[in-house]
Amino acid sequence: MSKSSNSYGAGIMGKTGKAFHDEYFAEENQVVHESNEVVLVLKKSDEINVIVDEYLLGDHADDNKTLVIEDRSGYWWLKATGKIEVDCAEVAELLGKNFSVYDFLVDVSSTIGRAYTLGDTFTITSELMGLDTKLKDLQS
Amino acid sequence: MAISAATKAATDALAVNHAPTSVNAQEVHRWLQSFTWDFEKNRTKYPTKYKMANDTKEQFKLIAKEYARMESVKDERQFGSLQDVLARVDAAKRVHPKWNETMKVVSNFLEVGEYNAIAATGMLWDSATAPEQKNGYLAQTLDEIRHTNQCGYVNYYFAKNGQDPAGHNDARRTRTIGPLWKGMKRVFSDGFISGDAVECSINLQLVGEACFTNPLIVAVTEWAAANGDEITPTVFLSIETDELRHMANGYQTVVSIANDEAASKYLNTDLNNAFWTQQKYFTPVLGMAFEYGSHFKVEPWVKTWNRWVYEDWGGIWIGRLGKYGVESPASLRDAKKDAYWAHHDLFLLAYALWPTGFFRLTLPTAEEAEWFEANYPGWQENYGKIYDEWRARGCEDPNSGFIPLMWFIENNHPIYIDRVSQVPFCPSLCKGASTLRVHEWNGKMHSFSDDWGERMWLSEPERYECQNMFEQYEGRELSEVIAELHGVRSDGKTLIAQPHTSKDGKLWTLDDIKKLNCVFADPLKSIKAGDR
Amino acid sequence: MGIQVESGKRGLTDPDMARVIANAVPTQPLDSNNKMNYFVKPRGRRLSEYEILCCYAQPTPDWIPGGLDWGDWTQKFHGGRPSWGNETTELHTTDWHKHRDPANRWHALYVKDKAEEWRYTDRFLKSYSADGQVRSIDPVWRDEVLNDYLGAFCFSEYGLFNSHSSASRDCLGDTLRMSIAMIGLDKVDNAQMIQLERTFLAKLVPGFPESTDEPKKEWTQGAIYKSARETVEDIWQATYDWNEILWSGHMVYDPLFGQFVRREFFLRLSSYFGDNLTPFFINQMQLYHSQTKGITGDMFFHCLADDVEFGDYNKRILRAWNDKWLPRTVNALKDFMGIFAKIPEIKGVTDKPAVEAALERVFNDWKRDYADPISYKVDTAALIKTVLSGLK
Repeated sequence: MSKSSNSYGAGIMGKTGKAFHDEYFAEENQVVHESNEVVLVLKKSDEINVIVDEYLLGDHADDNKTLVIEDRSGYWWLKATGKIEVDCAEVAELLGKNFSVYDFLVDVSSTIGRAYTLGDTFTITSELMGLDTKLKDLQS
Repeated sequence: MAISAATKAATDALAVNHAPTSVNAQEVHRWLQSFTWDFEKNRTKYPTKYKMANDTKEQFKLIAKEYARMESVKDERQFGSLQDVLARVDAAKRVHPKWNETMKVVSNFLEVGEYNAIAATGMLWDSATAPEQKNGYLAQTLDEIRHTNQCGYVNYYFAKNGQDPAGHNDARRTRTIGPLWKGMKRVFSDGFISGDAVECSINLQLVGEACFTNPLIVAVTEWAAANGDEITPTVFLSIETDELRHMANGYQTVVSIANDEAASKYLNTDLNNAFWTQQKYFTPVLGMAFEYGSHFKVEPWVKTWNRWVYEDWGGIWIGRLGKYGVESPASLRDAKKDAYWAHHDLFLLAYALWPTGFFRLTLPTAEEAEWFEANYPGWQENYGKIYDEWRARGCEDPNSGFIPLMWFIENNHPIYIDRVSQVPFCPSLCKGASTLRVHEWNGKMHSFSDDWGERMWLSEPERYECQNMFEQYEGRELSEVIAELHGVRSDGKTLIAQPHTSKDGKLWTLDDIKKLNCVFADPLKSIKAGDR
Repeated sequence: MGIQVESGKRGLTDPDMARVIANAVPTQPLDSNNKMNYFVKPRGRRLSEYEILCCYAQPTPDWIPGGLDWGDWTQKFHGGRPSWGNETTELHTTDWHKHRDPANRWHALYVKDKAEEWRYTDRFLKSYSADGQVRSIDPVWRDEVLNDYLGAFCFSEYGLFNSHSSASRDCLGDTLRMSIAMIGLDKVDNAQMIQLERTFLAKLVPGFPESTDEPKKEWTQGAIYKSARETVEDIWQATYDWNEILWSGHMVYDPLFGQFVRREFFLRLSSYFGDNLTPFFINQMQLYHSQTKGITGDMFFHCLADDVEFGDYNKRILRAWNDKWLPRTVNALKDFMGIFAKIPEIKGVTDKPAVEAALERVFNDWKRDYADPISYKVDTAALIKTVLSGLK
């Protein structure tokens, strides 16, 4: 199992019984703490498995070293600090078939963070889109 | 007619380029914001105390036709799997019976939320002023129809192909009998559609969807798969592929009001009320469904809650908005207490009232008791020993003449229903964040379980007048109520609900219940204002 | 084996887990009735999949006709207004759950149709552009009529689309709610197709304006759509009864004004001006119009006008609504007649006799399909005469 602080069982999640109880009810954990992470849930499918193996953990493994990907039966659970980006034009080449950003969205099951599309690119970011950063339209 | 300069230019351009040309969705979408116009009567029918901005954007840039194509691809995969491979392997009969029962409730109750969200997003589509924002809400309106149909399809599939069709086949009628239904309506029905439009958006999108759909629709698929159910992951993970746009809609609702003065006055109160409203029901009901409605366990519910609700929703959505004045919900401390204990409290009551369900429930086994104690130290002392006593009295056997509701009466543990959340609670037994408080208003007694709901009621009692099941059924005999509300199987006498899922166990009938002479009493008749 | 599973293990495929499950599953199903929604009265001989997936999703109590639940709402609007209420419409019925889409479209079937239309649209545009067919469009038709007036019609469709928001919120039945949202989406699709055509033309014809500025100016300030705009504004935002919104939009304004503009103006005239592009889009709009007509016909005629208890009363209200909305629609058409002065006259096509014949087709269709079913007396000749007075 990954030791990253972004992994599924990191921190308190690795504890059980009384140890979990004590940290869970600790005074400092009675308010939310700002997090710069993003979470993505990708439904397993023929295309998504390629994106995970050959794109995110393959050619783009260096894009964001904080990215953790874990197998949760029906879906891949992804967590990273900052952002995760998928260029669907590049994925289309990997798959050897047309694959638009909306084809990618067919199997994106959940997002925690600000997710958006622009052209062929899907982005999920911890930035506050629309507040700190403007959302852009496709340019002609 | 003379050829215009433009036509000549087009002709010239074609002379060098005959490349096929089309238009993509985002090329149309970029004009959407200009589709509206100002006119005197242009105001929403669903007012809000906030002012929504005219320039709010949509994050996914969909138009109607691309939306339809994307959804259609999802459907080809989902229904293709259900109608092909899952039918071929007889998947519905390879699900653990406990989980088969759980899906009667989970799928139908999720359907209620999805269905009401059609109306909720219709209201938001009406109240938003920015066309892109309207467009986002509109796509959600259609999504919610999809999800209603999908949830229905899960029950339909289990009814048609599964091991116990009763309950799956009539959930839309029999769901109204028992103690979980009115709370469901508060949180997933009326809470989404009745109130200030932005308040409803916060309930539906910022809390209901961005927070609780992750455990409800994503994490549930792990529990399903562990218990042999591949039908639910196939459908629910596809449902959730739409939810990310809904979460974005909720976030954009906040973006649209972020610079409005009203936000600094009201947003934190509305957010806290929405968080408490949603958690008050979801936290115990989901925890109960996962842990008590499964054979194989994935992880303790409190951990699932801590990950998806506290760390990720709290930190990534709410925490990040701190610089815009959004605060940690004041009710979080009580919510965390509920996430640890309230589902155990609720199962006690749900099992006590099992004849009013549309599903079969199962007492924890010795192995499960051990698992509960390891993960929730103190469980055996508070709950396990009660189950041991009920089992010893033969609560699963119709010949025993015993249903656990009788134990509550014998031991003077009255069950109340919180007027605001409609969630039942037993003040003398519960370890979650519930304590009794009572008010009299309009000639009627009202019980409450917590500060947060009590405050909502004190400021606007006219919004929460709904009678509860004990008031509705008062004085009526239990088997009579069940028969009237169709809680029986196709033989006309065996109950849909049962207190076990053993394949060798005897099934209870209306006659077995009638023999108990169990008559509903309204506990509010024997308390007075100020009681605690 | 234990009950705590290792991450990623599945009960269907892990042999030990599968064995535990198999031992717990009953040998025979515990109930013989495996038909979901068996208690629903089918429209046809047997329950359709559409009825199984849609009917009784609406959780209304029994004091709203057709509801299966009991009691009050668990949360109301500020001040106590109910979540849903009989008072949101003047019409009455014995069952708000009675409506059925004649095409039996639940969501998957609805989006499948539209997805096919989109895929074919993409292929059509590619062949149209590669073929250079744009060269044959008359420049006046293209630069003035398509840019300004088809562009402005986008706003009519967009306004009507928005009129479905409150109706999809307030209506009292599940099949109704789904149908209303779907016919609403078709209207915004129409608006988007108009802009899509203009974007496409801008790609092929250098200098053709893609911007919505000129069409919006025409819609908001021009004379040709003045009464249409005012009518659409009233349907969208000045009408509170959700049935009246649907009736005024789909049973009066659109079958008269919408049908004339789409079918008798753009569709009929395009080919005379060398335009094979616009009919491709208008025909999709006409498909949506005919599907909508099936839906609204079922809602208003089969369910409400023929209701055993309230049919006569409902017909009286519907006739009163016609009295209110028909004159505005006639005015909208009268204003629209001004468009014929903007295009070159083609004898037998755009002259007065041809326009009159086109109006007769539209009004006669409306009388047969919309007025007669509620016994509404209408003098179509007089209405056509009023409309024609707008011809310059």
